[in-house]
Amino acid sequence: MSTDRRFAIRVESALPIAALLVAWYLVTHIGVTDPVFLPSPGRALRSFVSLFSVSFFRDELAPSLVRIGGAFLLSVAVAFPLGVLSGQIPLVARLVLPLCGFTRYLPVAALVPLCILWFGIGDAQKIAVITLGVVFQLVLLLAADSASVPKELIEAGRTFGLSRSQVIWRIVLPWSMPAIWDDLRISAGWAWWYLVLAELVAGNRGIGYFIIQSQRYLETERVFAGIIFVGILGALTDLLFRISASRLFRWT
Amino acid sequence: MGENALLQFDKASKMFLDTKRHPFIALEEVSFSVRAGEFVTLIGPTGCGKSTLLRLAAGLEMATSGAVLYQGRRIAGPDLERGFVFQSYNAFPWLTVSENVGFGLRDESDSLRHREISTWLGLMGLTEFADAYPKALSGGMRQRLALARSMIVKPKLLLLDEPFGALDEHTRENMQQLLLEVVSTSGCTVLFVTHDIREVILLGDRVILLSSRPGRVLREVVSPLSKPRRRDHLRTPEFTSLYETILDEFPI
Repeated sequence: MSTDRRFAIRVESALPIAALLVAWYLVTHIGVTDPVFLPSPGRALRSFVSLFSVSFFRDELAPSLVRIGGAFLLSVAVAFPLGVLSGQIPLVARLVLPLCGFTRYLPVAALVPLCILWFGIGDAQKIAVITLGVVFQLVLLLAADSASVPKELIEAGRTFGLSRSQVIWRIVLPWSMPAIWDDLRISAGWAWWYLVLAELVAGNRGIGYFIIQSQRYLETERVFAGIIFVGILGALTDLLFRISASRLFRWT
Repeated sequence: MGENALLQFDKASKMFLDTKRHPFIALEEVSFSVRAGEFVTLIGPTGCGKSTLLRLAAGLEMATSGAVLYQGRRIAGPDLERGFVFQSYNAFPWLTVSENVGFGLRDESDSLRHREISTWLGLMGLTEFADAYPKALSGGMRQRLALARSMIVKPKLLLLDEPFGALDEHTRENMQQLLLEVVSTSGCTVLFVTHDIREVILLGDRVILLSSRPGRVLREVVSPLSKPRRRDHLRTPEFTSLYETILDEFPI
């Protein structure tokens, strides 16, 4: 591909984002909107920069990271064995997959009141909401990954006298790891959504709490700053998974 | 059926159910035996159940009726003593070439492992690719890798399912010579399946002809060619007459 063409593709990709920013700028500067409800891009940006302070990192970011980290680890700890085994052992698949296929259609937002009832408004409630949102989908994705191992690789392993569990450890896991890693990346994105949802409705700390609190005081530029901050954290998580994948799975 | 048969098919039949659950017979009352140290080739038209027959010998499938015996005992499943080289390239893509070659080695000490692996890499001309992943290898190299991976564990019986079918003419001839050398040094017994008439004659001490579906043993022919066999044999009258005999059995 020529350099010109590559440049053109970049411009085309950036164009809608640029148009949105320009529209935002124009709307706020012509004065058709009230700055209380829609701050200018400049004010939102200044507010975003002001988030980089010890108090924000300590009081809002750190609690959010602990919750999403804990919930994600819990989800993976549950989904990984269930998903991988479901992909290879029909009995496990029959026990696990129908349940997950049903529960994943339960809207997580509708489970929030129950989570508050059962777990209060502390970290446990946040972790419960995120885990409920992630774990069932993740089991189904990982089951599909582990089921996609080519039959001839499994049979090659068996001709070396591998037992069923050795086939899973030495063939199924290493083969499906890149796909599993990619599904972890996708589910980490969902975890960010559910974290914010859980913090918006209950609590007294965290980025979601910061957003709802700013809205209550009509500090709309801080609402924008919080949204941008979460967006960037989500994108960073995604990037970390992608970079580590290219290091971990050189054989692909 | 002699006492010294390493592998024995005794009226072995294999029936499958097709997608509409109709039964079809892949192999019907197949009887033959392979003595220790023999190189037996087996030829038959496409779809005659050649691969199924090998899979029964490997223990990847079980006979529906009759028996498949190894060292006088019914085969219950795959075993390290019976190596298998598949038609498709099925190196483990997440392992380097040397890790692939050493896959079947278990209890050996590290130094012994390394010595064995480098010996086989050398024999197969793969030394300079030791740390490469299989995706970097050509078709011929992949089958040399598969052969090394199977031979390194010193199987008593090597089963090969059209291993050179996907290779070009020149590479195939090199692989045939390499196989003959490796097998004669190791003294292992071979059952080699193909649909290439030249290949069965050139490689086999004995040739078994299988009918089209359902597969049945048509006849067995002892090779008139002297050992060691080389390409020059392709121009001898013995070769031509055996070629004609086989061709007569499979009118096109």
